[in-house]
Amino acid sequence: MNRGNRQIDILISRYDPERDDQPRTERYTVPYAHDSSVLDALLYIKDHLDGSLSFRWSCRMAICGSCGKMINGVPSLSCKTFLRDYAPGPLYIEALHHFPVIKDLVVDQAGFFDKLPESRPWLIRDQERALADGPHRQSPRQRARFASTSACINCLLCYAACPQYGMKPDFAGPALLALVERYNADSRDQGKAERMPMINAEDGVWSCTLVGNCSAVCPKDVDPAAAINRNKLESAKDYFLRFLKIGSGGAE
Amino acid sequence: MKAHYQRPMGRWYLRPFYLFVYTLRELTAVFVLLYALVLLAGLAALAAGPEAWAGYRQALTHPLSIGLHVLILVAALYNSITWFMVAPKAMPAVFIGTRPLPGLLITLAHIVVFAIISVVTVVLAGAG
Amino acid sequence: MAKQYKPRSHEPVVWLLFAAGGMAAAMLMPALVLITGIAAPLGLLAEDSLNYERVIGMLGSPVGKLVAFPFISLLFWHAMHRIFHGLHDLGIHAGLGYYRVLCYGFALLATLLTAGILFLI
Repeated sequence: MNRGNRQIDILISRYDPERDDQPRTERYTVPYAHDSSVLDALLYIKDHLDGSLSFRWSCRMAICGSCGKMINGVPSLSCKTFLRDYAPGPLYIEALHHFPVIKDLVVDQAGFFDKLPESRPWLIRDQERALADGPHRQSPRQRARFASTSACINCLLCYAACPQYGMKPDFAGPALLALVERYNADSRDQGKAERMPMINAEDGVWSCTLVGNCSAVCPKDVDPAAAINRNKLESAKDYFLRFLKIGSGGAE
Repeated sequence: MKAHYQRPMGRWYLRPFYLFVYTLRELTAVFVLLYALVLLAGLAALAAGPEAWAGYRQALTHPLSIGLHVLILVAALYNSITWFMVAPKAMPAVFIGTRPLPGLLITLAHIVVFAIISVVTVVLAGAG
Repeated sequence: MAKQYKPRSHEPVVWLLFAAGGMAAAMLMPALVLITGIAAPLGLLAEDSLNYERVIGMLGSPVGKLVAFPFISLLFWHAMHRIFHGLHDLGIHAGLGYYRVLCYGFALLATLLTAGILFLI
């Protein structure tokens, strides 16, 4: 990190489960340069000011999806957010909202990962294609259908932006429903009927009220709000047309 | 070790992050309801005859009614704009070749239709 | 442990009515509010466009009724759907089943009233 000669104050919401009943705020002053990210500042604090600060991070280049934090109340990747944009400060960093805080800026992500298998995020085939038959062919047009939804890095910023998830942790939530749409839109996949029960449920698309902030904060332009609300139309069609066809999804 | 800390939701809908994109939009429903009731009352007056209709129209000239309708108009415009902004997210995806049709274009198309409908309606009403 | 998503929600019924009402309100309401609630009462329209004969001529016709009935009743469904979900947003989670019946019941009642009155005109 190029330390630079400017300084900014950073307030961090700290929580130590062994001594705190609820989070407390601590203030740190860090030097920064034009290219210093919020993650750089957190690493500076941990290395030079307070080694007890806990936070997740890995790649520093907006691809691993592990360094999401609330920055001035907005869910953001700390590696993709720059201190210069918050001058003269201070800026306020908290753990991602709506998830239980384990320590400091580290949250329990089970509310997302426990639900992952039910979305069946893999190619489902009526008949598996034999290896000898070669790969599935897909045209650029067919690939384009899930280009945006397949860009998700599971950073969970969209869950921290979704008040419906905050009020109702049983809600499948933005990233998971975008993932469902990613596989349903894949020309190689034939598993839509298996995924419809999840879409059709109260905790599926119907807990969404189109706040839209999931899409606004997404660092990868996945647009989960569109994925969910297009599936409201799909679910409505499935609701009324199930009487006409066999094999529609959803338990009664 | 103690349990994890779960932050309460509190009055999340008043936070600026949600207030303008969401809370105010949802609040327009109250004004839509009020206007629907005004229209229903108008229908009832119309069915009751010319005197009742004249009374209904007289009531609408009260300054409180005018003020209320100005508020309803502001809410209705906010509802229209926000509705057109989310329209691209609620309709099936449209692709031109490998490119998705930009949401902004869909929003603008809605606004153009809205403008034409509004002008035609006002002109027809004004012409008597 | 994987969460099981069941059963099917009946939300599509009210959501379709909400969405249709939303489109109707978004496209038509500002112009109508301007005409009926502001311009006509203030006498800003060129002629007396809301006199009894003219309005009854419009709403008394089959075409007028076919436009007025869905428009007015869908406004109720649109508004009550948002108000019902607004209760959840405000943190009222208990007794939502009761409020659901109250909100959508009101929309249904208003729909029947609209139809009944239009039938009388």
